[in-house]
Amino acid sequence: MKIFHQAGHNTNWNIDSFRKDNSGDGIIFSPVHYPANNISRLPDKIKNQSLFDPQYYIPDSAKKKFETYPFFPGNYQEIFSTDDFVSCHACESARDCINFQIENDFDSIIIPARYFSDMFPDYIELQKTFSVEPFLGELKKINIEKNVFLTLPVTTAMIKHELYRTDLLNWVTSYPEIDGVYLLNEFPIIPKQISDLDMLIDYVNFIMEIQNADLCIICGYCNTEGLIWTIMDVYSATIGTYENTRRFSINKFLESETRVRGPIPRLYFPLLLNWIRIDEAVEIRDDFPEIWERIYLPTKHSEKQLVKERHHANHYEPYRHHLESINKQFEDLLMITSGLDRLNTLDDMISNAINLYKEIQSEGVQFRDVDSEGRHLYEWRRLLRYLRKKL
Amino acid sequence: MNIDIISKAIQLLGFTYQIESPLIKSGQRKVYIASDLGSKKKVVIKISPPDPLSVPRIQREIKVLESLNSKYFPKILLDLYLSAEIVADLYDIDPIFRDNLFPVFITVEEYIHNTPWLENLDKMRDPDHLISFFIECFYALSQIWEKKIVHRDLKPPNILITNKFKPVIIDFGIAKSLRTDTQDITPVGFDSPKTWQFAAPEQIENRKDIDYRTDQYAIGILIFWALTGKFPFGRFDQLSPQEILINMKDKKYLVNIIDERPDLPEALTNLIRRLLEPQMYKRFRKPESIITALKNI
Repeated sequence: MKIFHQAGHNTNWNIDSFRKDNSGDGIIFSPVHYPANNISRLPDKIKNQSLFDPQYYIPDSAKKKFETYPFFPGNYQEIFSTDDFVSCHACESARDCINFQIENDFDSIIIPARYFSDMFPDYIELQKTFSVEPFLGELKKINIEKNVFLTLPVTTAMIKHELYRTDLLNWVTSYPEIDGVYLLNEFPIIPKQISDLDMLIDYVNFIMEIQNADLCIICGYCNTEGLIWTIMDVYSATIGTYENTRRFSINKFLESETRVRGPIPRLYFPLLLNWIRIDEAVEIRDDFPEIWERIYLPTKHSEKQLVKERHHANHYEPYRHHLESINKQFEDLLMITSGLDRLNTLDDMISNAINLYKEIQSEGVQFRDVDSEGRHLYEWRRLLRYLRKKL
Repeated sequence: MNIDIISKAIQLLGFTYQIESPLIKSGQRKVYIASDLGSKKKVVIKISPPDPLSVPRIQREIKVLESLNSKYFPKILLDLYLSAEIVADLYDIDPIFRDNLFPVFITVEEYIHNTPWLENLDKMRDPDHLISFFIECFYALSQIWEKKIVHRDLKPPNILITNKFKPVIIDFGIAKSLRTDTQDITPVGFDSPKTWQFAAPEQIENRKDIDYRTDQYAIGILIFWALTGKFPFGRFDQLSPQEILINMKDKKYLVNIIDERPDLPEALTNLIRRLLEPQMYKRFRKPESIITALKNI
């Protein structure tokens, strides 16, 4: 199993984490955040371990960096029209996008797809004509050894609805020429850790059905729950810096990403399997050093962060700390060869995190918001019980 | 139309085919055995009226077969449209054609020497023979699936068994193209064409998302029938389509293959069950996976 960085804003942090901290096996580059000439300038040894997500999710996205990619759908017309794109430009766009991925020698080819928030009855037809069949048609013309992944952006409602889910499964498994699926599920943004067991079970089952059809899965935009996907032997999970690389949301592809307030700075605590507000972390460190000893696993980045007076979103330290810490957790889990043993280890990690939270609470520490609490852990433990029956 | 008249017309146009006897009649289309007087080989001649429904179907069937240069499919030797103008010219040459010859499509195909299924059933009931035959069948089908074509009507009369016990697949009359940029070889309508007894659940439901895995289901039924002489979910002359559809979807087998054939390898019965999965996504995604599974039995 591979661990890819889900790149986003400040992609250089991912690159530094990958190169300097040896975190991850490659990077999924994000054109909305990274212009084409930057991609071209990257060293080959980074690119040939990495992927390029063409991000056709909003084909007329006005985000500036898409303008640097001539094959991006919105660049073909002054006023974008899906019908015109499909009838006049889809094959050219597919050919040029494939060539871009080949010329840059990315590890695999990603076929993009549109994003639809609604359960349109013609979702599949729209995806087929817009990008999937033009890409497959162009790929057929060239002899290429690389793996091909089909992007599948879904919502939790799509995979919950039995008939819609079946249609999606019938569709993605209908292409013998692809090797895998780049799966993006738009889980709700709140809470920050996925705490809805039914949602998780639907997602797990969806993944398993795709895997049963001999397709690999790249689980895109993972947060800490990505550790659970190691049990299912997915092809890849991802690690990311900002929240919008750890939870798929279409907002970042829209022109004006609505941001009510800046994010509250948080630090990842691998032993708690969660992110804690930095101000709260500092309070625990100062007021309860014995607990701090038990919950804190330092990296050079976290050490550097914790001596700072203030945190700013442009400071890389908490993010590099997270990437390094969670990558280590992935590596430790992946050292274990059997899925069942991995599950048992993860179960122990969750139980340990629950116990640490109990200790924190018993000392009277009150977190200022629910996202620092460990409520998701109970649901994750139930998910593991469910998975145990499936293994 | 009289077959002697047709033969005479074909020969007057410079071809050496002589129609000998009727083979089958399928809808408006008539199929004959004929001889090529030049090569002395048997051929199959199909004659269809040039009505708006038949023409696109014939043309596309020809297109499919012409694109498949393979031992698993008959070769097209000639396709000829006897247009109104040609027919009028023939009236002038010989008055016998007047009132006896009308515009038609004529297709001449390679004749496949074959033996009927019923004569092969004993051999087919032997797992080793059955497996080797269906490995070849899936090699054949992988060639049409690769071209994004679904046969949609796989059944014993459309899978000829050669004298060497190899399959040749015929009759692409209701085949469907899966490409979105082409018209269907035959369109999927409210009640799309099918042979009920070998149809997959998605065909019975007239779903428009059928694909190559629909053919896998038909082969699953065919293998089941070849091994047991029975149909797994019931016969359409005894149960309604709705009853059979429910059995298919619930995987309610009316015939237990293990009871019928306790000698069969478990891997073979598992493979049949996978081919007969009601959900397409649970069948095989790659033809080579089926072939490998068959080889590994």
